[in-house]
Amino acid sequence: MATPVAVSGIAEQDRVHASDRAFNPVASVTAEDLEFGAVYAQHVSFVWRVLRGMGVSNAQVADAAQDVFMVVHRRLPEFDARHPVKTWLFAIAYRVACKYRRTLRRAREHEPLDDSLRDNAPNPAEAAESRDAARLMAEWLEQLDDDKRAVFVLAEFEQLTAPEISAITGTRLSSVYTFLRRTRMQLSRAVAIREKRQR
Amino acid sequence: MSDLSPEASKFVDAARESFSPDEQAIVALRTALDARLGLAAASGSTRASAERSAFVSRGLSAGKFTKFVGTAIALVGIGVAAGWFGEHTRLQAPAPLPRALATPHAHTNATVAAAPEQPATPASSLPAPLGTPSLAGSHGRSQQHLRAARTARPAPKLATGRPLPLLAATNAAPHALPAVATTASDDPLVQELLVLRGARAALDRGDPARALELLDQQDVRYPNGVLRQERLATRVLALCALGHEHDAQMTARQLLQIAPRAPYLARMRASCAGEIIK
Repeated sequence: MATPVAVSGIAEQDRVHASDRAFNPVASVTAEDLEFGAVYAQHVSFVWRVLRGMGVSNAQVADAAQDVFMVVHRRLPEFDARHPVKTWLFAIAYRVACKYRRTLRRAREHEPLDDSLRDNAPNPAEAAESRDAARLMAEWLEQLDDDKRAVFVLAEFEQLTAPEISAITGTRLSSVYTFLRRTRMQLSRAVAIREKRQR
Repeated sequence: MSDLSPEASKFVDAARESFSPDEQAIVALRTALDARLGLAAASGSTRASAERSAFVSRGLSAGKFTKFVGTAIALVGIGVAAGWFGEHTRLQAPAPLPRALATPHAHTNATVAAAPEQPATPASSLPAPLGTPSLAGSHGRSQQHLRAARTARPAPKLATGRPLPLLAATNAAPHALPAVATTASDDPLVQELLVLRGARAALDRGDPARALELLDQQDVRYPNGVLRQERLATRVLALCALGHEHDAQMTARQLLQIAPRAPYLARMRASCAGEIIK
């Protein structure tokens, strides 16, 4: 049985369902967890980051996420709970991201500036650093092929393992390792060059 | 496999945080989805056939289904409520798991199966279950921040099927420093869900007083939380179980006000607050 997640304010007996189904969002997902509200609550951040990582601008990511969850809502009753929900969500988010990127390419000149440049972080210096990182990361990801990009996003943003990434993306395991090695080297080099310039 | 340099790793962490939605964005998105789904159904959406078959198979008559879809405003109702207020029906319909992205570029040129009003591409290959879906992406926020964010819940209204515009302020807030490694239990949404499940577990085992206690705690922590409708529905049943019919009916009225067509209301007709839900 999965170990219940410790949540403040919940007594031990309340963490376990009457039918002895402990809910642990880190463990395998039960059919009940694959209801819309649960999927939304657990995976909205994942979907959001995948959309951003796959090239949806900050200005459009909320709309794109709506599109993803509209599909999720429509298709969820048919989803087979035996399979990983993240695989399914990633595939939907991937396609939605492709659609938004195509639209963006067609109307690039009308694209508003990425509003990740907002300044509402508590520390202006931190905000500037974060904005810079987001912008540079978006630009750097833009140079990657879609398959490499997906592998990188899942590995570095979602901390998934290579076999998990292979299962989700359909990329061969050996290619996942290769992509990761190359992209990490490229990024490390790019960051080093950038830091050298800033000195 | 080579790792990122420490500088690059820090850079990735900062970008990752910036690429994540803040709590306000999550709540606003949910609100927009509620409204969009409700409007889509009210305008006689033609995309109901897949849902119809799926939900009919889950025990709803066609007539109820029409009402159900028309009232899809309470999404979590479909989620948590359908699983718990219903008969815990397993989702074992034919698997529509989308094809694995073996040839990602093909998707770029193909019709976008995931477009809002089009059916998603059915599965052509099913990857093996991963066993341990990670929530490593969950990131915590201070409760103070959460409360402030949750109180500013917008109510987008559009009469089209297009994405509802969210408030500009709901976009991801940049946070510079890398997020400290957090666990799933730090995610406020997961916490909200867990507490709700705890309340239901208490109710299931015949302890409605404990269920109410947990719901009270949750109301304080998440007054405008994503799962507010489900909390109200659970509260109605807990109050009924305690014999507090009047309070149950008052709560049912409150639920009707914020979600007049919530799909699980039909289930609640059999409760002591049934006469409120016509």
